[in-house]
Amino acid sequence: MAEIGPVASGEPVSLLARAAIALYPTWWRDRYGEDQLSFMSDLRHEGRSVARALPNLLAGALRARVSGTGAPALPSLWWSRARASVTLSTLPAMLLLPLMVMATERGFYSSGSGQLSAGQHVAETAGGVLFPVLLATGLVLLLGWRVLVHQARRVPKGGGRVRFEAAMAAPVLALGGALALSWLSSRLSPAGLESAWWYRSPTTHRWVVHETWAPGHPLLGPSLHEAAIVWALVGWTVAAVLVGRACARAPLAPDAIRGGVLVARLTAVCTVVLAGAFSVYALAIALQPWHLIPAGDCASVPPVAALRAFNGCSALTAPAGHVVLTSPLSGAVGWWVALAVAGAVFSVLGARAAGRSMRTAAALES
Amino acid sequence: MTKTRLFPKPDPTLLVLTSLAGGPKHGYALMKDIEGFSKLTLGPGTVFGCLARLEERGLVRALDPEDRRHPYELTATGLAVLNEQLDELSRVTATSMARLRGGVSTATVPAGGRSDG
Repeated sequence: MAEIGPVASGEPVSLLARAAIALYPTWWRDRYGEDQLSFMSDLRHEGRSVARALPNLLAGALRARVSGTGAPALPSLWWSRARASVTLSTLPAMLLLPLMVMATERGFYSSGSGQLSAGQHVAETAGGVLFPVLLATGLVLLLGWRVLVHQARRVPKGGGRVRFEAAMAAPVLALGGALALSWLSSRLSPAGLESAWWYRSPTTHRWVVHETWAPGHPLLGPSLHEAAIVWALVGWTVAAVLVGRACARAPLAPDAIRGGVLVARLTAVCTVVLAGAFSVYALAIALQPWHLIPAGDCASVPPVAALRAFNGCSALTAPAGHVVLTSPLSGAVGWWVALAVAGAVFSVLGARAAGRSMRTAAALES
Repeated sequence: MTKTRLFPKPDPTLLVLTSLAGGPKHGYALMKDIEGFSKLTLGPGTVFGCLARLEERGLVRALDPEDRRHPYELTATGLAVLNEQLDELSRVTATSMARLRGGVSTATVPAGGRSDG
């Protein structure tokens, strides 16, 4: 018999390598975990770079999770993988939706003269694509959510079902709470949020209605308005995670999981289109030429025209005595685009894994 | 002339099967053996990914663990599949070598035209 290999070195394995191996699925670690630890130990013993092996280990963990290669042939395990993959596929869309809605509401600005630059035309076109796709993604998620709740009600009432239904109420609480705060805020502002411009100067908070200062509480209304935005964003994110966990553990019948896989595929397509359109939109806005205005115009009272034309005033990069008017999206475009692309990649991988797991589970059962 | 890779690197699964054809090995020994004969270094994710795929298809099997790690060996099916793959590859290699030695010089082929001899 040929030599199997050198005797195990017993060299301690770094924490990073252990963490990377911990990212593999449980059944993988049970089967290959010790082998991989020994591999990393031998690598270190021979003075080879452990850091260079880490990306390969991480890619392997992702591959094992997506493909399920080597998983035991148990239908229950594969159905469970399908449920988890549906969650992985739909979660990015649930998290990206509020961010994108916020970005499209605040990111675009016109020059004030009505003339659009080339970049603004591109942003406008991409924004035109974004809106219907955002709507379609929201509808797919809502319909899928409704179907899942309906399917879960067919399961006899037990601890699992109660937790599932409680988690499914989280998005309603998030959106309902945000709407209630928003309504309260509009009641406390002098002329309703639609027609009032809230201007925040470094020293004072003032209301501007129809281009003149108006009386009204300078802080309460706007604070509630911002609280509504924070509630919606944080609440929706928490709700997305709760719904995801509930779906991954819910006692759903195979039919419901098949529906979930369809939702995952549709969501993946929507997320890819969203990420593409959003990247073009955000980059086009970020590449818009800056507008310089005298500092006095930005700080003067009331600067309604400037505020209507632009979304932000920044004195950081402007020559002395001037400020730069720029989109709030410009500074954050890098990570917004990275988030959108990462979300699309996870969504596609999740949808593929869901489809494969469902087919394997069905084949094992038959 | 710049040296660019026209063809993809050899499939890691084939490399693992080839290495195991020399006898049972554990993961690290596999990596070192493959490095020795192909000059390619496979990472732990790739090595165990290949082993998992091959084990799932019944082409390799794990032996009893030694020092916490399993050695792997080819099964009869694995040996047959490797033979089949190598037969295909050797047919392409043999044809290619025969044609190269047959005297058709690429230098005599005019651009966009046919060789005269």
